[in-house]
Amino acid sequence: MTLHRMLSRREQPRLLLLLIGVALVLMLASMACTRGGEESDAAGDVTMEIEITPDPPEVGPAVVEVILMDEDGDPVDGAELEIEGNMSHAGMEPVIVGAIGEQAGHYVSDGFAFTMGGDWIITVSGTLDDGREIERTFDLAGVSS
Amino acid sequence: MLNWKHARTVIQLPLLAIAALIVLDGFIGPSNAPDNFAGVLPWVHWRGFVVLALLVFGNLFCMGCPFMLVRRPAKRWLPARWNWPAWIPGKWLAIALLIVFFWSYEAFDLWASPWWTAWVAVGYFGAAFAVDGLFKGAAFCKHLCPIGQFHFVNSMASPFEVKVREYTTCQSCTTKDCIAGRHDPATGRLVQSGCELYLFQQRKAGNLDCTFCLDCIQACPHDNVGIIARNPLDEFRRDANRSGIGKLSERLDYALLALVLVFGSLLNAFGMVGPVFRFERWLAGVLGLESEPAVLALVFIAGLVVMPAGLVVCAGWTSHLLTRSTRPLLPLISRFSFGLVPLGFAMWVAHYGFHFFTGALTVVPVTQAFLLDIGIDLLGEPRRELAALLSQSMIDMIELIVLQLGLLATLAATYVISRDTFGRPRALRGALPWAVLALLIFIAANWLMAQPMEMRGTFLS
Ligand code: SF4
Ligand code: SF4
Ligand SMILES: [Cu+2]
Repeated sequence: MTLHRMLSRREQPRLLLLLIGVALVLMLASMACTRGGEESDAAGDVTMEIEITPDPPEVGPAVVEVILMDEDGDPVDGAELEIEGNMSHAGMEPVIVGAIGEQAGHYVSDGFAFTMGGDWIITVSGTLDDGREIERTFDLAGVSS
Repeated sequence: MLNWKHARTVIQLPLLAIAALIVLDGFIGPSNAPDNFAGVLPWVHWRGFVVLALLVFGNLFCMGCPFMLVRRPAKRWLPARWNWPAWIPGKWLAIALLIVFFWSYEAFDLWASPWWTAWVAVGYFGAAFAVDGLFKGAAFCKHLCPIGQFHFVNSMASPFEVKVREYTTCQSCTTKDCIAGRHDPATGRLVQSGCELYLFQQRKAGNLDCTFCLDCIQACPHDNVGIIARNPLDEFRRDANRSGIGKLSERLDYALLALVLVFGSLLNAFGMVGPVFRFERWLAGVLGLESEPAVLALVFIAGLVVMPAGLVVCAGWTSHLLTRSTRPLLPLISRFSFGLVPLGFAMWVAHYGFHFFTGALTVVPVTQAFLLDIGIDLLGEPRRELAALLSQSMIDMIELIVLQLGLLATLAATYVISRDTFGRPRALRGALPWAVLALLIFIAANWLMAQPMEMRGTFLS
């Protein structure tokens, strides 16, 4: 017996509707992370690393050092950067500071502090001196209080 | 206005829109919870509004529950014929689901994952549709929904209740539409269902199991049912034979549900203070466990079932001894357990209120960023420095006051239960052990709220 026969004429459109609904949800779910687009900055050839002191990180003033390099490992200077710290839990005030460029591709946070313990997400964003936008995100687990 | 046929739908539709936004953003939005509607709206705003609504009004969020919008189509499309299986009666499955929910929230860091949050919402719609499409009545709300159980139990402390205005009107009523539903006299078709949670207004006592769905209000031909102000202590004064539930002293499942929610208020805040992480790490080491969900499962079973059961048995037994009572112990324990509900509720208010007042304004930058991302430049650049609604010292003070009021309410409830159980002369002695237990919970709650917040996803590694 085919599915066609098993369902009454009234039931067929409902099943279709249900299937469309389920398909829509699955499609959405598989599209994960396209809005905002974290990986989609225009500076794919530039690598960014960060170093945080104190290490291991704890509540209180901290220094976030950002290191920018191009494909050949040469320092990238002259960028305008902003450093933002967020908790992994929504609803906490973010810490947003600027970064001061030093030589050799190093940038140092200006007045950063961990305001509470827990898991942090550090986002560094800004513009390179050639005008391209850059944004990278780093997970920082377990800042102790 | 509440009599209007579409009153509930009007409250549900905006919440449905918000649920849709959460699912959409959860699936395709940023993966950082603080930047995503699915990270902010459910875990900061919705939880805050739920407890505040319960505090000043009643079960407003079951009334506005968007998941219930799928119930009507489910009942029309699917058979909806079966009775709820007798081998999983009452709240047992709901208790299990509630524990699983509390555990998975911690074990899988639901608050930090918009994607999983969206899946929970989708799963909710699917489960409500399937369950209410297969079973009669409001089976999903009554026997399954963990959110609903949270509302039901904590609304015992709410100042409003759905109840009859005049008992004499009920006595002379012949149709009992509030439970049977109203039928079209010509065709015999059901035009307005009666209470699908099987609460018969004439014998309904208290807020337990009431979703504030307005069905009874709209079904009553004499306009004799309303949402009426009351003294929450009335919930505890008598061991009433509650419609659809029975006597609380005889409902072990309801008592356990209440205990899981009272102690859940502590455990749910457990996951955000430093000393607890160190304890969990120590526990993992001692037991030689490497899986975090496994350690947490032990913590939750111990903290939500074993320890509460042990504590209430101690309290009940002592109050038995002190009053030289000859009554059976178990009904006594069941009934007194409900006395702890106001204190547990106060802890929920303190905790969720904390998140709400510290983070309510973060919805502004999230909305701004969302609009910019979909190409609408209406609200300008995200103002990411916005977060708290009140200052930290103000929030601390509110928490303190709320917890103290909760303790007072629990002491009062315990006293009225004791007076009704043992009689006035022995009331104080009977209540004493439960007052001590309440004090212990109160101290634990204050300690937890006084710790610096430390929100962590993992404690091993
Ligand atoms: S019990 Fe659950 S599904 Fe039912 S109305 Fe309340 S929240 Fe919604
Ligand atoms: S119909 Fe039942 S659940 Fe709905 S408001 Fe009335 S008593 Fe409460
Ligand atoms: Cu919390």
